[in-house]
Amino acid sequence: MEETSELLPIIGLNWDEVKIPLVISLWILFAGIAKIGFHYANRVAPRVPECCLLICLGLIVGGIIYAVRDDSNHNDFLTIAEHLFTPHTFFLIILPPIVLEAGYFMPKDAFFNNIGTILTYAIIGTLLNSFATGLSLYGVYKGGLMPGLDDSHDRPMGILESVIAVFEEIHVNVVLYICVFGESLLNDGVAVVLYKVYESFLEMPEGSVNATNIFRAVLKFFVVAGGGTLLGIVFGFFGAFITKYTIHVRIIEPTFVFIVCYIAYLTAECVDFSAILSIVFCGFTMISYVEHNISGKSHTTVKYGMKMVANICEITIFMFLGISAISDFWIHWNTGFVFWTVLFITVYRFMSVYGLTYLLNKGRLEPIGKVDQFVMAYGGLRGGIAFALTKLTSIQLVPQINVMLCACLVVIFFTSFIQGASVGPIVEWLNVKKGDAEKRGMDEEVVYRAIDHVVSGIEDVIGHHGMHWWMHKLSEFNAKRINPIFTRDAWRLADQEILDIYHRMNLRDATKIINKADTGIMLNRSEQKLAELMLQGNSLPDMNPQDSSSSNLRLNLDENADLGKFDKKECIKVKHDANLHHMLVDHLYPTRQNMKTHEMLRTRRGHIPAESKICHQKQEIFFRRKIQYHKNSKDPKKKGRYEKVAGDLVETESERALKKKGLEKMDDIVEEEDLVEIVADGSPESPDEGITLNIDYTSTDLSRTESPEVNGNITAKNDDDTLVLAQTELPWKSNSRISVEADPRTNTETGRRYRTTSNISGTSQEQ
Amino acid sequence: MGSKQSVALSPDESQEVANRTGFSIAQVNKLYHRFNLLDKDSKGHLSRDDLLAIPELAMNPLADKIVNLFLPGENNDATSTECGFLKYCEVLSHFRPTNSKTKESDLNSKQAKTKLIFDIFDKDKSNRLTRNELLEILRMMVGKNISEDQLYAIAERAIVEAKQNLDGKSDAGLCLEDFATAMKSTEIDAKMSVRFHD
Repeated sequence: MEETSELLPIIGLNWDEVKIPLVISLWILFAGIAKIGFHYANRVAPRVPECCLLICLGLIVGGIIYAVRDDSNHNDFLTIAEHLFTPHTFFLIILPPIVLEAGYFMPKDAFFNNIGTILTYAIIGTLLNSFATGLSLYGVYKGGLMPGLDDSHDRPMGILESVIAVFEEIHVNVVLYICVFGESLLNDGVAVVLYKVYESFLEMPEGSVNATNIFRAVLKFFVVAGGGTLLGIVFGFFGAFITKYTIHVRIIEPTFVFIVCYIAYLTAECVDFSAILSIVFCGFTMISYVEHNISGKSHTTVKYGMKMVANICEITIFMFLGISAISDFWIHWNTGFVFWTVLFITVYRFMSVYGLTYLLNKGRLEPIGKVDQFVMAYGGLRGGIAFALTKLTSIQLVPQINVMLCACLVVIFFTSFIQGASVGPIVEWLNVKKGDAEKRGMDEEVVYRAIDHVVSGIEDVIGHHGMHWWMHKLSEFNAKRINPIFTRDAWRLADQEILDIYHRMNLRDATKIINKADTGIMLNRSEQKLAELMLQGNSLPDMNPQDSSSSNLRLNLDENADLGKFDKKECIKVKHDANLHHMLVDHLYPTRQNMKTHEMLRTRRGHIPAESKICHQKQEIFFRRKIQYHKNSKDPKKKGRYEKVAGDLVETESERALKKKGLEKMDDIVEEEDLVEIVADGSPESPDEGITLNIDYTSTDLSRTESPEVNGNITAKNDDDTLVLAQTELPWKSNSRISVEADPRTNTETGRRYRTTSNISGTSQEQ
Repeated sequence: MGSKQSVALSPDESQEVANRTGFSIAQVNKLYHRFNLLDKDSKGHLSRDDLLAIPELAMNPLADKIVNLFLPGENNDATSTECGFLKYCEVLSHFRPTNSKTKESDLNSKQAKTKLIFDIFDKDKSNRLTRNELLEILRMMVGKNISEDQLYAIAERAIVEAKQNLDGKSDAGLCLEDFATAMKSTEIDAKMSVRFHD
């Protein structure tokens, strides 16, 4: 009998279908793991900027792939990689997130204050560099290269965020930071514009390089750049407008931000405007309105989503740089070209920075120092955009493109590795004026604003329409006309800024304090004061504390109410609830079902799970039932026995409590900051009520820092035998007893819990 | 220059002003031009009304404080109602940009600028910045939609933060040195600079 049927495949392989997404995902995973790895490597070589490591990694991977290249059957990775990382993908997918993230989070004040400088560096500097390098190269190699304007292409111009990353780590002063940052962003745009212009020229027949066309080229430059910017601003407003109405669809708010910005990019690309400038200004415009409209959670989503994607894309770029280097490197090496390119680029960069700064300083209020100039010139890195643009050029247009590609790669490597690695130490060596790592405090904020007003006023007195005047006018116009259109509750905006800052700061500090208390770290003095401040409320002497600000503040509580908007009363209630909850959780007997989770949770929090705890608990329950039984029995003998037993039990319990909990109890109550007595009541008089607890908060004394001192106190209390007191009231019924005192108390309970388990190792713990 | 009514500034006078304030002669002349423009009745000095007649200044929340810079006197003597040209220039010279050549004794040094701001805040001239003074400034700067409570909380927090590295004297307020220390990272001198055209 012949079997004509095949066996049903149980396991199959679907490589072809999932090939592309799988490779992409693996790639991203690999890049992410690489980044993790670098942080461990950074202990070894802390000075090396991440981009260098990434390029190295790319080189390694490229080398591997290159080595196995001959085996053409298993080329999938390489071909997919090559197909994926075309300039097309680069410009449409990889670049936008990076640039958007830069534009969205650009510090606005600094940008506007230095806008002249930034524009000068970006536009004029770039143009100068480009032409100078191109002409020089042309001059050096008159016959060997393609005649025309396209020699230098745009290699001098791609400046990437690797420089920014280094600066951020070192916290250089804001002016330097914004100059480099702004310049890098804008001249990416300029570079692309120039590139388009160049390309158009190349596509036109020879002999088109005449005066008219050059004039048109200049015009085109301005149209492309200006058009891109305007388009971005329009889309920015559009996005802001949409978010005004998203109050009921909070979940998809981040979508609007991302999508509108991306559409801005694509639209600009579509009409041949500068897409980079478009997306940068879209984000830049959008942010101030959107931040007021979207909820806190959406804000976080947008922020971290953007940063995450931007990060991944950056990693990808650098790795691809490395890979491409291996494949393209050796073939088209032209030593002369490469050498001269590197030389010219460096020289012209320095010249243009110094030259332009000299001119700019004549007009600036705050001149840029020599040191800063040096850092700007030296730290200007060329990066991914240059490379991508070079790769984008088709080989028909520029036959020597591969030579240029080589040179481009070398320039990138040179600037990335050598300059990138050394700019850190040089910054320190030259004592570049550092920016302040911390953000402005509340006091600085207030003074800052006051100064703003004063200086505006002075400018009015002089009659001088300076920068301050224009900015003031702009912000007024913004507040009066534009905000109402694009933000919800614009009436709140005008005054809300200072309040928002205050809320944000409070939130930040509160989180910090809670985290510290949770892990048992002592709060330092200023934090204590702030904690007091936040919770005391506004004890304005002439104001009735009941008439709290919450009534005046029209709260905008929506489903995703931000923490900063809770009013005072709610805070108190929340705290009471929290106390209650803690109490119950700590002292209720867990059922068998949740005993396990109970124990597990406690273990996870650092408690050593106590076998004996469960035993003890069982014993307790057993004894208590016994007491109950005995008490209810009519037998006088048993009753007497009951009392004895009861007394015994209580005593033993307290003794046992002292012994087992004793040490712990000392630590329990040993608290630098307050005294708490936990009274376990096994009162014989009223066993029906079961064991009730009385938590008696004594004074909170924040200044106590000496534990031995408190220890002494507690031992005294123990002698008084206050542990077995008749219960008075239930804590949650006595509102007056629990006054709103400093926050650390609640936290210190938990703090205590953690601390006890960490202090007492080895002994079984009970709560 | 007192209350002399002079229509044009003689070179000696402008030189004197320039020496005192650090402006250049051209700047002094330009300022004089502006001074005359503001001085509507040609009194030779500026009064409170003259200054408040400037439209943008009148809308400035801290307008009174700014005017007080020029007309500081509290009693009804000449200095509180009249601001002569020299005083005008002196006040304005505080806002000249600092550069590496600025000496500490100059009017536009960082110390002088800090003191100016401190004086703006310090209403009762006690040389101490108290919570209430800060509160008052805040009140002037924000609108109606923030309640007294919150303002108070903000002022309180500001004081606490400013004093966080200092001990003691919790209610006495900040003195000038404390203020300067608290503000040292804000770069007051860069912020308090105005461009004076020649």
